[in-house]
Amino acid sequence: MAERRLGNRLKEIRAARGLTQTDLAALAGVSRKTINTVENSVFIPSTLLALALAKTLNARVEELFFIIGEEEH
Amino acid sequence: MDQQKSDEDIIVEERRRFRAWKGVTTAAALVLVAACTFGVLSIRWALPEQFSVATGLPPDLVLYIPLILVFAILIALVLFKLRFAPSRDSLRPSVQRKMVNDYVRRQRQSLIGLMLLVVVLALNRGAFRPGIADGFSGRSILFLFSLLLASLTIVFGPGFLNARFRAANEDELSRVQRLRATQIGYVCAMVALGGCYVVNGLAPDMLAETFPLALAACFVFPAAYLLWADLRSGGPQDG
Repeated sequence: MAERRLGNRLKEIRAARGLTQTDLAALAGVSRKTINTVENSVFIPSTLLALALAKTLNARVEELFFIIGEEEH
Repeated sequence: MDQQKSDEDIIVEERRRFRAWKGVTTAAALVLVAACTFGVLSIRWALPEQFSVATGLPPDLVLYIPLILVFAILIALVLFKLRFAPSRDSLRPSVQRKMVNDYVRRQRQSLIGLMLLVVVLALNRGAFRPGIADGFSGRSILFLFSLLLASLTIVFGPGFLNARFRAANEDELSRVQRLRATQIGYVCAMVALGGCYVVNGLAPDMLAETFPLALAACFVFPAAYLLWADLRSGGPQDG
């Protein structure tokens, strides 16, 4: 069974909204480094942060985050 | 009145205050170093007598110059802090959200400062040796309080007593990094205590020298991890 990993489209959606990492961090109330590490899949955000980011970007959580292992099937 | 200020105005004001506070603390640290150097030179080269002859001040008063300087610095810092107290509006959630990065930067600076303090006190060979006159020396007490503050800093985050640091301390990435640092600290504590146990068995005379270093290591390694993790998570600024 392939190992599940969390993928995300945060960078694309953020860029499409015309926001920088700093802008998104200020809107979501987290540090820029949190946004950077989530975008680079270094850090897996909590459900609370995932929902907050989705709300801030006016997107659905499933649009932002997906499981890589499941997408391959 | 303050209610009418926009978030941006408050943030600009806060950043100006940060810069001023940084300048004052740097100046205070330099004066403190000068005071300590004077204290060390006083003991080694009988500086008070020379200084007393040169300035005409009573020798007893000259001996207290470092202490007087330290008190003057503390009073100046307290007055400065009262004079430039932050606006209550800087606690507004909307401002807090926008200032997370500023506080994270300040946390890094205070962590480096605390690391330096602990290392200097641990390397000070007299940190755990009782003073001749006062039994348990002031340096030992300072060292113990520094360690207590250091461990609280690793667990709760730098500036944990200040409400303005709350958003930075509650930042998700910071919390995870602190948790890992605490785990590293626990392993370090076990290794350090084990090392002290061995030293006590093999060379008990050296325990007084190694114990402060072992205690300091329990903070320095997790703090170094925090700084490294913070540096690593930065990445390039994305436009």
